[in-house]
Amino acid sequence: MKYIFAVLWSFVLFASAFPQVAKEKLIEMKIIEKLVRDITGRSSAEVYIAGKDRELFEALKKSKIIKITDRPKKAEFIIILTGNTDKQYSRPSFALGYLAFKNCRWCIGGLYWRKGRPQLILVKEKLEKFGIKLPEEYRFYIIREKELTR
Amino acid sequence: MTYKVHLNFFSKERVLNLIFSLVLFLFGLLVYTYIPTVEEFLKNSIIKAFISVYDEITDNALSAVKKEASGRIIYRLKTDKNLYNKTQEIFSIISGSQVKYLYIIYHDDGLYRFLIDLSKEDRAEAGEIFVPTIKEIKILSKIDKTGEKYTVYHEDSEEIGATLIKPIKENGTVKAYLFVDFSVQLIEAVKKVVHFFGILSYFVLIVSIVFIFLTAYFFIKTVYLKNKAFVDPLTKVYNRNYLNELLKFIDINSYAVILVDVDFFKKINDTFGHKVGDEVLKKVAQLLKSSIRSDEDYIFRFGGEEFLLLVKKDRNDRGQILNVVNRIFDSIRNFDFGLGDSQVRITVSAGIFNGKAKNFEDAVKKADSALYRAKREGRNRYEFYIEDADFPYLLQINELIEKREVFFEYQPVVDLNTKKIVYLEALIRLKNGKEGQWKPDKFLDTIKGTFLYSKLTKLAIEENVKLVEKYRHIKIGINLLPSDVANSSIKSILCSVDRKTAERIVLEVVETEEVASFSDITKHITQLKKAGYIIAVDDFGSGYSNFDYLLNLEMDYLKFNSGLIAEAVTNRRSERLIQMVVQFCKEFNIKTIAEFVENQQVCKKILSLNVDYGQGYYFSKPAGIEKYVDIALWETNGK
Repeated sequence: MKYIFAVLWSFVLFASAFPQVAKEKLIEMKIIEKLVRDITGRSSAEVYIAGKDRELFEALKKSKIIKITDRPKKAEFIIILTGNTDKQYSRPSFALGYLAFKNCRWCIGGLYWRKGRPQLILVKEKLEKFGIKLPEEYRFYIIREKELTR
Repeated sequence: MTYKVHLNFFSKERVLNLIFSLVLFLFGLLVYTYIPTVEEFLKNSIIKAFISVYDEITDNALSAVKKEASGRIIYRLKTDKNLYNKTQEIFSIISGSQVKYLYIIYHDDGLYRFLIDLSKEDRAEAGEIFVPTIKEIKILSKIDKTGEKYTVYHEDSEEIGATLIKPIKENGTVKAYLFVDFSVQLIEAVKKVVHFFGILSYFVLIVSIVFIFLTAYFFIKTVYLKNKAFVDPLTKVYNRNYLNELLKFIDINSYAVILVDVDFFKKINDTFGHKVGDEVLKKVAQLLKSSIRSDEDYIFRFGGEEFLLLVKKDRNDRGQILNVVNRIFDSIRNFDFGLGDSQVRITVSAGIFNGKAKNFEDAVKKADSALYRAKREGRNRYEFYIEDADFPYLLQINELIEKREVFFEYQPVVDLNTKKIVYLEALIRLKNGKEGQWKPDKFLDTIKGTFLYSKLTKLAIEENVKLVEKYRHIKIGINLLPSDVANSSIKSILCSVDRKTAERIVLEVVETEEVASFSDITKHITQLKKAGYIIAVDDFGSGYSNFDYLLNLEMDYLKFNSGLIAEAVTNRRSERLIQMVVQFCKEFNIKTIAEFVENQQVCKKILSLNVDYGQGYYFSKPAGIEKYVDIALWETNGK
């Protein structure tokens, strides 16, 4: 777990060198990159973004791990943005933003900001559904589905 | 060249500057080194002070909520909407610009959840999962164990600067936590203050470095300039400036004072030119330097061709000083200066003072007196100053001159045919109460080469000029050495005399010392002749006399040496020589004078040799001026 935190905060540190607008997006990009790598087990993967977030798009475009695709079927990983939770994808989907996470009950997890802290939550049942096994360091972030609604 | 004493390089001002710069530098360095620690300390102190205010307020608020919840905060806040609202109300007074977020979380089976969010923005729903930072998780487990409140600092967050986490206990167990997130602006404000100190320390550091560099620069510059000011550019030995500085630091009685003078240096300059003369001085300086101990002794260029050596005395030092002087003489005598194409040996004379002196001037005066003796005794030798020999005598002479115990007797030079006075030779005397009068043979040799001699010469000129001005029909002869004629201050006194007076003064240039440059002396004498003075060459025929005078000097009188006149009575060669010189002088309209005319026999002899004038006891013994002021005694149409 401490590695995840180290990564999370090192992202915060790294991002501090960039303009403030892009900072959160960069942290998000780094977390997504790590997640994609750990889920797919590959050093690069095609990702589809459901929704429009120009800053995120620009940030991911620079990533060496994530290859953005406009064809969800071809993608190995789907990012769901707020307001785009209606359509369900056959690929592991990950919500970005609190509302997207709250509304996307079929997502494997979500990443959002609360009280100035990045909040990464992964849902055990959804991960299992896709046969995703994550390293031990994710343990703290993996919760049961029923715990979401308590 | 390195300085053996520090002189005043480290002036009070410079030392203070240096200390100030160093203190400033150390302070700057200290602050610079400890900036992170100081920053951390200042930051924590300020934040702690700030947080303590909120600590108290939140304590009160929590107490109020606990009271409302009858101690069961978690359960009641989950179930009691009224309490939930009441809590919002109670905590609403806390939220402000500095408190960014305020909320209570509780521990729920490995997860943290929001119990109530009291923040004004980014509100979380009750029961929503909260993922604390790794630092916070560690603190939370600490709080679980200790039950104490803690503050967490968020170094990397741009939103929250610090979080005060307070435990909420139920039945003595920590059940929930109140999170007070302070905005990053607070930290930033504190950081700005601390940063100011950082900048200040940088500034102090830079200023102190600049100060140190400036001090070092001025120090080096001073050393360089002092070096220039203290070292003789030609010989590269110390000069009088350094000597003056050094004298502030040393006891002169710990040193033997040796004055070394290059013999016949003027001749070297005149014969080989000044360039060669300079080379000789350089070499002599090098040889002197190599003859003394570099760590204890000093060498200075004291005058034109004069060097002063300060040789540190040992306890039984006479032998040691002798060794140094012998080394000097050996090295100089054996060194081939190789002037021009021929091998040239240079010699020096030295005067040594090795006793107790009142001060430096006293020591130099004594060494100078010994040097003079070395010169007088034939040069190329050294003489120690002997306390009983010259010095008290010099003091006595000085005292007599100071008290104006000086008077003149006059001996006439008489026309051998008319027996009338042509002029009176002024003969100086000192009045010594105990011993009566002192004649020149008693004191003149002792004071030759010292300031007393020139003092006495000036006095003789001034007194006799007054007499000539007083008695308008008399002529007076004043004895001068060639060196007096070349002495600028004596010459200026002579030149200031009006022409009519000068025309009645005979300057008898006494040929009793070696003359380095006849051409120089001739030039000076010619100038005086042009000023109206009558020029006589005294003591012609003595051991020192030189035919250069006869050939090149436009003299008016030639005075034969007394020895030559005395010999002429019995010695045919002397008689013949006088005859020939008289004949030569007549051709060139030079009047000849015979000294030592003691009796009629000598008078007859010189008359037979056609000598013009005579002087001696036969005519008159030296006497006071009153004896000769009668105008009838005087030749009226003589030269």
